[in-house]
Amino acid sequence: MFFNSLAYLVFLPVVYGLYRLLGRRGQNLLLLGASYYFYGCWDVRFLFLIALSTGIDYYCGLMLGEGLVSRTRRRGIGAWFACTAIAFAGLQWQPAAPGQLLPQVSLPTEAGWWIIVGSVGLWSLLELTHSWFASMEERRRRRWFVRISVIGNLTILGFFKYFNFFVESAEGLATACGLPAEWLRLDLVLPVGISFYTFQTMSYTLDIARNKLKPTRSFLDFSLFVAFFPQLVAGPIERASHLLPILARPRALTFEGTTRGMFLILLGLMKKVAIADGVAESVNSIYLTGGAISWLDLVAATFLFAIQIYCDFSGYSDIARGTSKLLGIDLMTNFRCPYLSVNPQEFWQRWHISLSSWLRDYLYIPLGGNRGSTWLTNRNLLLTMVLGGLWHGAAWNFVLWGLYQGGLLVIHRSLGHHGPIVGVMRRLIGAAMFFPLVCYGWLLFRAESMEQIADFTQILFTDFGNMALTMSRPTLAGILGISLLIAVELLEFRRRSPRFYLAYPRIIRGSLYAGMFLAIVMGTSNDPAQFIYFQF
Amino acid sequence: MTQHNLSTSNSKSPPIAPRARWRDCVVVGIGFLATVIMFDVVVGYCFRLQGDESASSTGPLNRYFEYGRSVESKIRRMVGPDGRQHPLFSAGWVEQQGATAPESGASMTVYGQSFSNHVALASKEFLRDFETRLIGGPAATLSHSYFAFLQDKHWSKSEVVVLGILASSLPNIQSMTHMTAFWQGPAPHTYPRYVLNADSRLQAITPLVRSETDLCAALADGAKWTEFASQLALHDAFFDPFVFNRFLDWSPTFRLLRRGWGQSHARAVTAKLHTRDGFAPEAVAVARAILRTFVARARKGGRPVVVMLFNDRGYANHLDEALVPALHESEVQFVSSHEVAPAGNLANFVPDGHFRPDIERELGRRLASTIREVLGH
Repeated sequence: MFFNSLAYLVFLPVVYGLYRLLGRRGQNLLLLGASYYFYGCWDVRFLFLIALSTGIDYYCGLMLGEGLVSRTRRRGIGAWFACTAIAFAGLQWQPAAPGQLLPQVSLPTEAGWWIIVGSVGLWSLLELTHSWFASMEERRRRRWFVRISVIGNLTILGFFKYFNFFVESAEGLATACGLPAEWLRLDLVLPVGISFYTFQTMSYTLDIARNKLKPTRSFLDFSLFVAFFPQLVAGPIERASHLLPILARPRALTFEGTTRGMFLILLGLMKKVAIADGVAESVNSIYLTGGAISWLDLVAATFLFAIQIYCDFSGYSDIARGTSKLLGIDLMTNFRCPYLSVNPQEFWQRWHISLSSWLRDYLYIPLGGNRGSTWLTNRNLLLTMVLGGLWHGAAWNFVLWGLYQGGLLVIHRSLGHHGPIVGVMRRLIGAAMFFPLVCYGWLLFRAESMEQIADFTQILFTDFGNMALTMSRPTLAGILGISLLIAVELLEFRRRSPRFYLAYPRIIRGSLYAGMFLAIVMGTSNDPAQFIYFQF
Repeated sequence: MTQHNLSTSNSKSPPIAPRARWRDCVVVGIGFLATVIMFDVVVGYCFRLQGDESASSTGPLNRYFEYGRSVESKIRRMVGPDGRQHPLFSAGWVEQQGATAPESGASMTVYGQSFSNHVALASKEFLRDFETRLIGGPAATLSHSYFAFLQDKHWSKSEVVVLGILASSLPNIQSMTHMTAFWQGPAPHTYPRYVLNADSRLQAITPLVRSETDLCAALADGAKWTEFASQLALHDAFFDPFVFNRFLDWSPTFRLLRRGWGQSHARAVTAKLHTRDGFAPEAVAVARAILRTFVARARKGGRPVVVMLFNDRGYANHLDEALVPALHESEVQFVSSHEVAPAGNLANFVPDGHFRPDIERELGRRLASTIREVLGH
């Protein structure tokens, strides 16, 4: 189910209506069920991975914080593993046949039986080792469970996301060395959102290990923290210290929260439906074509991709935040006018904030951050950004993109500290000068192969002045949406508040909403593309 | 309980009285509605079409806001107040084509659509002694071509029969008119929907409207039009009443919504018949049956058949995968665009979706060579 689908247009009001009728516990149960349904619409089988990650991290969290888990809880976790293994990985779900309401279910395959047996084995292991771990010296036990959590999560992520990438790369290396190379490759489907919820759950155990968070005893709250549907598949990557307390107490559904939530949903839909989908065809006409392209084609397509990826991703975040806001849950801000940044450091404080702050807190700082020599700081920056690039996808262009972003940060750092830029014009000029560097990063990010990066870079620097334009034109909805978005972002930046529109007369606000609505209506005829970040 | 907290605010701004909130909502709503209505009025006035003007003869913005007009309304607009009809109104009707016999001498009859016409015309450079009869319709599907062949009284006077099949039109094998599958720019011509009966034989579901005359009569008689629409609702997979029936056409906002809806409906139907792995078996089965019957009939009349397979944008080599086995089985010579210009390379196409002229020329050369080969020249 996608945020920009008709199914979601039905799903959200139903969930919201029921949510208003329930108390806190009922609300959490409803949201958990809705979240699993939301994800299951894409592929039921991979719900087991979420359930597995939930069970492992809940157990690790308790063992890290309290040092033991009661028998009842252990049985509960074991039953959770077994039941979810049977329901999601064992039974085979087929969509409902025409004229039928319920999906068709059939018995497990051989692989399904192995997963069920494995989950029961995991339960047994948990039972058998519990007393041994409980009697262990605290420091040693904490080290054990941090490792179990991190290795467990990264194994799931690494297997589904990076297995084939590393095998292919190793094969390539072996072939280059003249060695025989025909290794095992698996036909793996990348589970949607795996990078997001893996990082989110890992932050929970890591925060407990650092004594920044107390483990939750409520399995329901924790399961919902992992699977909360608005941000499950493409973030923002929430921290347990922020989201868990909200889930643990009654939420107030306020008028302001509702109107703000609806505004964010409207803005997000406009970004995605009108703009991102409106320029996608133009970008693809250059990046997916095998024919000759001009300098202007490349520059225009890359510029449009910068807009596409921003609107696609921040649009998703806005809808996620807006949906949560309707439910009385505040999610963190993920974007703050990133293209008005004047340097790479500022850019990463404004772009995909939930990931960049995650990388900072759980990778950059543990690596040493900027506490060592300049060389060590630069190494930490480069390593963090390369791993951040690799987080996006298992391909060399993402590694290169990370390296490029790390390089920009290192260069910026070596140029020394500059004070904040004051004045709108100076800010705009600074942003305009930095934006081409951001765009080149997007070229690396969007490229289909390393050969294309080489070709396009060559065109960029040697074909300057070739103004022939063969790129498909963006749609009218895209063009109008971009104009409206630029106005909204500039006003937001100028007023230094994302709620800048509340300062305008109500009639004008109504007109602004209508403009966004009409842009969405026009955008409905764009070819809908999947959210770009779903693949990560 | 949360529902009792609705009147409380958790923001830092001072709380607003409930009455003020409602006033707020009403005024914002008025601003919203006023803007949408203003948009409707301004766009409706500035980008309107004159009574007898068809969408294709006006500026791009006029066309943009017209795409979402209902099919019925678009078809009615094609007939001007003076009874003059837009050229698209007459395009593709099978009974009007093939009325003229080829002149004496070598000739070929080509059934298909613009893709096959372009290549057939390009082949004249290599077949100078051949007369070319073109029978087809806009984006015609295989069932249209087969029906045209059945209705053509003069095909056997040609030396060779050429059948052009377009990948993107193959899903329309489950339609009965261009109006439903191509509702944004509909041509009103119709053709039967072919299905396989229990014996795997082709069975035709003939449309109630079969000619321009029938169409004019249906447009003039509400009951006939409704009956025709009901038949489409039953037998045309692409039919959607929200897109077909005439209502709220005066509102540009509603037209934009209808356009989005219509596109998603067409995509959903096409997605059932064509996935990234190829065409759905039910569409392929009917297409193969038509192909076999077509070839058998032509051979019975003593004429060889050459097939042109056009794998256009977004269809990889799926048409080849679907039909080449049947062509081999029937020992039919064919020319495939995939061997010359793979559909995966967008550079092979011009913006309107056709192949580049140099590719059409190469396909024409191959067609000419294949025709000479089957005729033993």
